Amino acid sequence: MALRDVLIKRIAQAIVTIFIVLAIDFVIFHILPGDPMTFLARNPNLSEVAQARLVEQFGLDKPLWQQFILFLGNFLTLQLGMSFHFRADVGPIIMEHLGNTLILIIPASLVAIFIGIWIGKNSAWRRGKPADFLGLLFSLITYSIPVFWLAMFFIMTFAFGLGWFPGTPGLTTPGMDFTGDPFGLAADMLSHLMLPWTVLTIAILGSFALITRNALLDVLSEDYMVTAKAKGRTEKEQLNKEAMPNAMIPITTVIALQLGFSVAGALQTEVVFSYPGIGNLIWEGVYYRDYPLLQAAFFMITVVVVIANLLADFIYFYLDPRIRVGAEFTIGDEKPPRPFSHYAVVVIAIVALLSTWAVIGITTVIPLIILLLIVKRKDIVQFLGRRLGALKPANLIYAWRNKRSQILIQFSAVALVVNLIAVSIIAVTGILSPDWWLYWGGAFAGLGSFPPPLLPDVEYSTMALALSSIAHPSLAQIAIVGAVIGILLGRRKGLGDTFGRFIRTRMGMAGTAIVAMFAGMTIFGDIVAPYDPEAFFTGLLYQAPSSMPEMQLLMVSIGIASALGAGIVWLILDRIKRPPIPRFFVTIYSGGLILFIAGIFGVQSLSLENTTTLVFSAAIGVIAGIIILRGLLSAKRNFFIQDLKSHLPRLVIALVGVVSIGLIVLGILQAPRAVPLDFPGNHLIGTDQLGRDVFSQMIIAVRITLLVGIVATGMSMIIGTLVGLVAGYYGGIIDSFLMRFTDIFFVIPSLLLMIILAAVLGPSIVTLILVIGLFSWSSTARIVRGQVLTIKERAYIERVRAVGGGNVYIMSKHVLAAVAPLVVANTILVTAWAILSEVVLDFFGLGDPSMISWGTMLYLAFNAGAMSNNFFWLVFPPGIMVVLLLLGVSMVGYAMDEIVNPKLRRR
Amino acid sequence: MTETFSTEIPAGQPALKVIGLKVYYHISQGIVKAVDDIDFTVGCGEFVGLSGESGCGKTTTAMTLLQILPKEGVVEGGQAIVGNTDILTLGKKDMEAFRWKGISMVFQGAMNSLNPVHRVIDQMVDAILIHEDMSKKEAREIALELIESVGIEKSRARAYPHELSGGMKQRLMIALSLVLHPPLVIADEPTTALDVMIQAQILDLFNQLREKTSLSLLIITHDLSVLAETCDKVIIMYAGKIVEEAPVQILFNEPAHPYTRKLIASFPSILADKEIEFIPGNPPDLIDPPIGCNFHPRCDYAIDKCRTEDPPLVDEGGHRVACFRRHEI
Ligand SMILES: Nc1ncnc2c1ncn2[C@@H]1O[C@H](COP(=O)(O)OP(=O)(O)O)[C@@H](O)[C@H]1O
Ligand SMILES: [Mg+2]
Repeated sequence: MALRDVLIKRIAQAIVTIFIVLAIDFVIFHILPGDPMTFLARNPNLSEVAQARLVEQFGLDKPLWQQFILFLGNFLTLQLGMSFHFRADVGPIIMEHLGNTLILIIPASLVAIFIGIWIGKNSAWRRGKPADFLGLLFSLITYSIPVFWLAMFFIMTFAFGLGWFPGTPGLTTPGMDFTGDPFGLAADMLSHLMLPWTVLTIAILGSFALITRNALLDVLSEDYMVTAKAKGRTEKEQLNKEAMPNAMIPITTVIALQLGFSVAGALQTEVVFSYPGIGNLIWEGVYYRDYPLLQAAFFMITVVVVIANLLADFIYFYLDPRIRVGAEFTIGDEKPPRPFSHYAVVVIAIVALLSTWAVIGITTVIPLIILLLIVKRKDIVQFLGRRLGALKPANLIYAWRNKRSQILIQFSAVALVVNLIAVSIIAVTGILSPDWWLYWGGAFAGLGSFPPPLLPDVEYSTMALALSSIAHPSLAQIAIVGAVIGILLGRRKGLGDTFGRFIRTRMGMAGTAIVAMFAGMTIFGDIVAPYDPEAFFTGLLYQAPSSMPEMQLLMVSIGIASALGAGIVWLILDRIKRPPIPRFFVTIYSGGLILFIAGIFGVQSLSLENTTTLVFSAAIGVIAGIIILRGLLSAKRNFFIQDLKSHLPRLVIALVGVVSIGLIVLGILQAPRAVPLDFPGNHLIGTDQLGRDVFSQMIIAVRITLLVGIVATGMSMIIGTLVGLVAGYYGGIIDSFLMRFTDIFFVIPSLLLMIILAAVLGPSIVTLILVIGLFSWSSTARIVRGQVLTIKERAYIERVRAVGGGNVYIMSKHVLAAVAPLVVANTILVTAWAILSEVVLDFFGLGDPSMISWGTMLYLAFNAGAMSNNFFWLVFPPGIMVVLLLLGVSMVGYAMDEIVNPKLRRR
Repeated sequence: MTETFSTEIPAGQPALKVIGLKVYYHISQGIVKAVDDIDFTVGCGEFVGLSGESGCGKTTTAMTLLQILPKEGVVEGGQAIVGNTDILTLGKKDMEAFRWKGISMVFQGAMNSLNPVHRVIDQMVDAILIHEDMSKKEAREIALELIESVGIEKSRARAYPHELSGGMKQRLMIALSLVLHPPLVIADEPTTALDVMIQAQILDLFNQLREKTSLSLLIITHDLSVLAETCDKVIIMYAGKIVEEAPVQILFNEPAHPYTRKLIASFPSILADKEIEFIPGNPPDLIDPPIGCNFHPRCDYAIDKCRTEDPPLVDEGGHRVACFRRHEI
């Protein structure tokens, strides 16, 4: 393909993207309850004349399709409507703020790209060495910090605390007159810009470093890098002259695609700094529900991002000679696409609807599924027959003898299918009510109450009750757990091996420890939190943190000190080359540590008479016991007493470490309750504006955050995998269509879209899950598609086809199985992203105000003026929790990726 | 730069002498004994073939000589002598200077061995300028001449790799390996990925080089016809060890090791209308190789001694064989 064709294609694509953005924009604001006319009329801010003008300009009294055309015309000529709040034309307001945003974002992005590439380059080149670990850790930390929190932190430290920078909001010091003093103006502006620039740079630099590292690792595994080394190039030249020119090609594209991410970062920075940019405008738009403003802001930002992407594309074409200089030969011809299929059409329809029509789409999907059921009824009967045939007694006896896990999987699968059928029947026939599935879906996800409230105006027939008990969410949960256990048992060896390699990487170990800590917090929150987190006036308002009781302070500090000491001695011992400690010792020690902690929690549960947590700690204790037992069993076989001597120092140190960690846990657990809790109480991290205990809130909040993160991730995983699978497998038009669609979702700043959609739909946890799930799937789709493309060329897939395997069979049985490991690694990373989005949406005041979450805590703190009043205890703890959790999750994801990603495996 | 070695081979000395070379990969599953105590020499101007099933350690041997092993690969012992230096003991700087100048290599997988973002000619010029102190223009002249000598028009020199066919890329790779006139070139499976016509062109190119230059070549292949057409001497490896070495005529006419015989018998021949034999069984697990002769589990002639003792590589008049029963079978 010649360069010109490619360019034309890209420009066409950008135009389509803008069109789709406009469509989304139009649709979002028509989801609003009530018609736009009454909506306008209810707005007290607009005069009659202005309203009449708007009605005419946007044809609000005309049919929908005419409105759409008018809307397109207006927006493309930059007539963006009338702001409810400012009572003025949106266009000029936006333009002015857009300029300020660009002043913020462009220098920060350039610096961040520069530093990020440098870090990523060094990380990749020294892969596996300490420098890589440091680089990766730094990148992951900066990636994990919610930008708005970093901004708050910087303001409190450097502006209000140290006084290095002006603490006044905005771009210049208010009240100062700089006429005739351009240098003074510039200096003033610079001093106001320094902090926002720094914050934004730090916030986005991590992702650039990660992108560079990944791209470069890919390149380093290529054959020509061996040639480069063999030619006698020095290491520096290998990196700079041979590897980087290649790596820059993917880096430019991905960095361009990440621009939306930078924009989201800039918006948060602006809000916290009260910087007069688009972000602040959006914050106000959300606050006052100024829809025209939001609509226009979203449009303008997306246009800017699309243009920036187009520019990046040109750079990309310039860098890649394969495009710049068209090829004369094409080696190997393109495979013809797979024949068209109903499934593909349905998937496209589902995805298109889901994404463009958001909530409305979901209800439209059901008829499509019914259509599919009718069209494919023969296949379905056959499929069910095959499934049920597997349950013949003879088969079962065989399976019981040879593959017990298989039975578990089969039964769980049948239970799940029956359950799902019951759910669909209920949903489709509307036996209960249209809202029913939402409630049950919520209960299924662990949200809301269980059983879901019976709706007052609905009669419940026996049929409905019978069906709903079959469709009981708990049944589905049990079936899923059963299937997972079965799969785990069935593949124990391979999984054990992968897990073993995973946990032996430093990153995997650290990440798992952090995630385990938060899992513990979720389970044991009730016995850790000393107060009811929602109870008002447990202390004074804005009570500063109480000091820690002496005894517990001593325990924790001794624990920390000896743990640190042990760590340092361990590192020193590691320097002296000794045979590594046998595996079973590590196993026994970790089992011991878990048992120890479970014991501490058990005792605490007993003293607080909390049965649930007692059961949990007992279960964890049993698991720890099994781990220790397995360690001991494998010890018998290959342990010699003389080995003990060479390992003794390290074993002692490890023991010290285990005891210190125990001390820390015990100290923290006891501290809040060591002093009487009566008013004004003992508040380790102080209280908030309503006198609620911040420590308890911080502990309990992890539940909502994890819940939203995990459910939204599940949703986006399903959409992403489906899209990637279909696109990669069918190829041809379907592929290009779906991938262009995915690209569009890459380009649109998804966080912004989430904010706007959540603002329109109103704050609730279901909204949060929906918007995050709907707009986070694009990276998954890409990864899955890439994998499918390589897998489908393999010979065994052709053989399966030759013996009569249908498309769906091949996709679900063979292709999906092969991409699964990568999807798992990607899932974990998407979870981190979903959690981050949740926190940011909460911060924009879009979380459920009645539920405690870290983001909401920060939102309330920000609005209560925590920054200027130096209520650091309201700001720092939740933020640190978010960063830690995200860091843990992304470390697990990265460690996993290192192991399962075939591109990273070589060399 | 003061170099502690010389790439000039003193008269009468072999171009390369490998003694007791051991290379192991240390991976999480254990230690892969990829190359386990091998000795061989490549004489000046000699074309030596190195053959054996895939996975027997051929590429590892080649990569060791240039010290371009992946980081799991560790040289556990042995020497590789070029001129008067053991190149395995060279420091990092010296090794960088030695590469390509002392030994160059044509890599397995011609498709991806050239950097896709640089023009072919620039890649050759770079290779020259890394090692030689000359102007860019002179380097270009040399490169162009070589490009022409491998049968590619000068006008194509400014092409990017993606603009060239597989055969052209492989020929340019050979040209690239010759830019510094190294005494020894290693060609790792130079023809494997190519179709038959292009294979013939490449072999022809090698034969021309043999006639026109004093080049020594270590050619790695599992294609016996390549060996028969180009080599003076053939080394057969099995599971990290050399099992037989002989001049090419002798090897094909009187193979002595059971493995070599199987290998020759398993190779389809267009001329002789013979049955193709397969070698039953799989090559051994190099992490935990069998005790005794590595080949005994698949050998038809194995006796008890083969199962307990490792057969030494015995030299009888330039025909080296590692088999206890070489004269009995
Ligand atoms: N990077 C590596 N890590 C671990 N094992 C390797 C690596 N490279 C090669 N091996 C193993 O070393 C043995 C020899 O490989 P190689 O030298 O590539 O064989 P050949 O070139 O003869 O096909 C094989 O068993 C292979 O699995
Ligand atoms: Mg090889």
